Amino acid sequence: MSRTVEPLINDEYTGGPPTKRVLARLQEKRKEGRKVAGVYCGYAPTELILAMGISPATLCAFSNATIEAAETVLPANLCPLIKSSYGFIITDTCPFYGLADVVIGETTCDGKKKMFELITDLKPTWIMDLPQVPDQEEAITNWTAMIRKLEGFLETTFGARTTDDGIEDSIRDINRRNAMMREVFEFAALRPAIVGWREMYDLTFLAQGSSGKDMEPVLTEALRKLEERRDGGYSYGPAGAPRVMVTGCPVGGDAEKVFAIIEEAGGVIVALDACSGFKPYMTDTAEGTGDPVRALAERYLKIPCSCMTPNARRLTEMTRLIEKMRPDAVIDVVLQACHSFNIESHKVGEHVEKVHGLPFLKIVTDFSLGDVEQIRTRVEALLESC
Amino acid sequence: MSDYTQMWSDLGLDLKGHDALLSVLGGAYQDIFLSQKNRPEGMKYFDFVMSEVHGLRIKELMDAKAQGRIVVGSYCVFVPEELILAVDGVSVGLCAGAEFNFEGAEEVVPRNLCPLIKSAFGFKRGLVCPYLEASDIVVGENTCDGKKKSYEVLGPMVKDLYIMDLPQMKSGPGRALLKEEYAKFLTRLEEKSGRKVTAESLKKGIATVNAKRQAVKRLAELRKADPAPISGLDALLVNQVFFYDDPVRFTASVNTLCDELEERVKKGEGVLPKGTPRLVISGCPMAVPNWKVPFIIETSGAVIVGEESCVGERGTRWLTEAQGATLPEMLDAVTERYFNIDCAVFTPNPSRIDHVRDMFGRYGARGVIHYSLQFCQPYLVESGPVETALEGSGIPVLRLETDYSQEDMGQLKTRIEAFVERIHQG
Repeated sequence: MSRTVEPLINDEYTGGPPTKRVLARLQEKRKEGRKVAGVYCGYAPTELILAMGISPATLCAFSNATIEAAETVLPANLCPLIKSSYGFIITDTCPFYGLADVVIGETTCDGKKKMFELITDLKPTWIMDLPQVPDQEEAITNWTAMIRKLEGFLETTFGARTTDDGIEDSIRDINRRNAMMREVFEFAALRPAIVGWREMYDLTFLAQGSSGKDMEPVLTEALRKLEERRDGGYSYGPAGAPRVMVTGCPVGGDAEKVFAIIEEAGGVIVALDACSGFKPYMTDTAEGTGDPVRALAERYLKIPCSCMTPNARRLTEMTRLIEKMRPDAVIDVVLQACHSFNIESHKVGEHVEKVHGLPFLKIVTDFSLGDVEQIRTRVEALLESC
Repeated sequence: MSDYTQMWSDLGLDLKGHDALLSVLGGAYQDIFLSQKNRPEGMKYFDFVMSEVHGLRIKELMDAKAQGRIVVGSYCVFVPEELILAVDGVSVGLCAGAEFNFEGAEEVVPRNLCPLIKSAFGFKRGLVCPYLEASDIVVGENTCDGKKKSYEVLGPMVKDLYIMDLPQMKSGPGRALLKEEYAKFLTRLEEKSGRKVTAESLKKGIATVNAKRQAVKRLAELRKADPAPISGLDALLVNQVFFYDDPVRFTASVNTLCDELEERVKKGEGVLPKGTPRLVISGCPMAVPNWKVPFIIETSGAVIVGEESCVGERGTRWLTEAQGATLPEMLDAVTERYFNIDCAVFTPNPSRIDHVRDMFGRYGARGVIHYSLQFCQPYLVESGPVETALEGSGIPVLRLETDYSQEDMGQLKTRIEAFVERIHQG
């Protein structure tokens, strides 16, 4: 940093893991008597959950510490995110899970889908069958039915109720939140960069289960500070630092090592193209359609996750993001044994190199520290080529 | 064997690679199958089929194509053969059972991927699978992550790839999705073949496939006997040939084999002595020529009496109920039939455990070997709960995870021998 500036979110949790802030907010909601639904994935329909007066809580999934316990039951050849999630549950160390009254899962990938089977008897759990070919009409019909069934489950479990008008209001609220998040990303697009990955990640993490109403003051303040940074000529990172876009699997906790390595190698991360980053905020739900649940289904099926096939949208969305953020290199982070992102990486690499003429690096990693130096060497070589 | 060089060359096969493959296959077949003792005479037909698996059978496919029939290649039991037969098409399983050209495969798909998928790419990129090259259309299905995403990579490499989506939960919407997918597939088959499906042609297709299933079910029944009238390897081979052969001829040949086995059972004859420890194998499919684990088991003092696998009872257990006379009614029946299949890609998948337990009892087994291919997450994750449930009912279980290489043969043998000893004493 060329000089110190006030952090975008300036509270007692600044500088620490973003989970603590979210936990504190969730505990407040709990005190107000709100029910909590644990979620794992960007496909959980936040708008519906919030419309029913329930708070979504993203469950723990990013620690190496819980993997050993998980491997007593799960195969070692499984994605660290899934192993970590399961390990948190069986060691009872995830405070979000502790607060959750129910768990909502989706059949995104084989690993998660089968892992959920092992936890269904611990808390009321609802699994949504996610279509895999998002562009066909049956997919939208099916996903609409799944969201309705989730509504039924939440009604039965909590006696919570909402109406289509309530869902519509929630859609508008989340659309507003997403629009503000995208305004933040506009600042991340500036050259030179005025914001680093940590602050962006703090915001994307906090916003995940939050309503627009809850996020508005935070985002208004953050946007004001970003304007000040821009107008004051502030720049983040070393002058001329290569700009890096990170795409792929969700990254957080112990996987943040990749972000740290990129910065230590002299790069600046300008885009977090993952469900843990920008992805949940890139698409809006259509308003005023008269069928808000179908509108939600259409919006959620637009998430370009690798669990979809052929997932052409990932490449078109990536192009939009590359054109906006103007990275000098793209790094695809694949968590070990995540087949869908791993296989898709081949196509992503070709797209980045051939269509955009940018250097591309695929990193397959887990939550351990064993490969840090190896990753560093490869990232340094990549950034040298920029 | 006749000289098929011209045919292979016309199909675009890499002749050198293909020769190398056939010579390895031939040697393995000799060592694994022909060296078995007390084989039924009826296996000679299957030996012949295997010796001509890239020869005469491919010639038949080419002849069928010359008559205007389409060849439909697939990798999975969720692709309904009934529908293919209803447009007078030929359904064939595609090569995915051998470690061939994995270096070529790993240029386009990750190394850490199930060997079955890598094998499909090895064969494709090495140009050695005549079934794939002869296919007018290849049908992919969204079962597991690995296959679903790999089809995206396979698409540009084959003439015509058709993808079917599959539900992952057995719910009402799931059933509706599957039916819709089958209806669309039927339309695609009509376009491709230029033939209209009629109630009559679908009815006939259903009857043909049902007869084939009934024949292998009859074979399965005969394996209840002690001593086992047929080895697990030979029974597996029959289940593998199920995917390649002409269905009517296959059915007749299996029934002939069963006639002979009935005689054997009456006389109390078997391939191994009475009292040989009996095992059920459960898990991932074994495509030709994946015979590694059954070979080790049956050379370790045990006999396999049932396969809870897609190349086995999971693939053949259900018949398509011949109810209804109209096309939509029959399509319903086909959907119902396939919706039963308890593949581990479904969540939850409780009936699979019931079926393993049932087979264990029905075939008088004394243990279950759970077989997972490396990196096959659905079966690997399910293997834990399956083991716990079975051991909980007093059924000994050995969990194996392996690939197509020969490197772990010694280790597998040691573990299998120890398991056989455990059940022998127990």
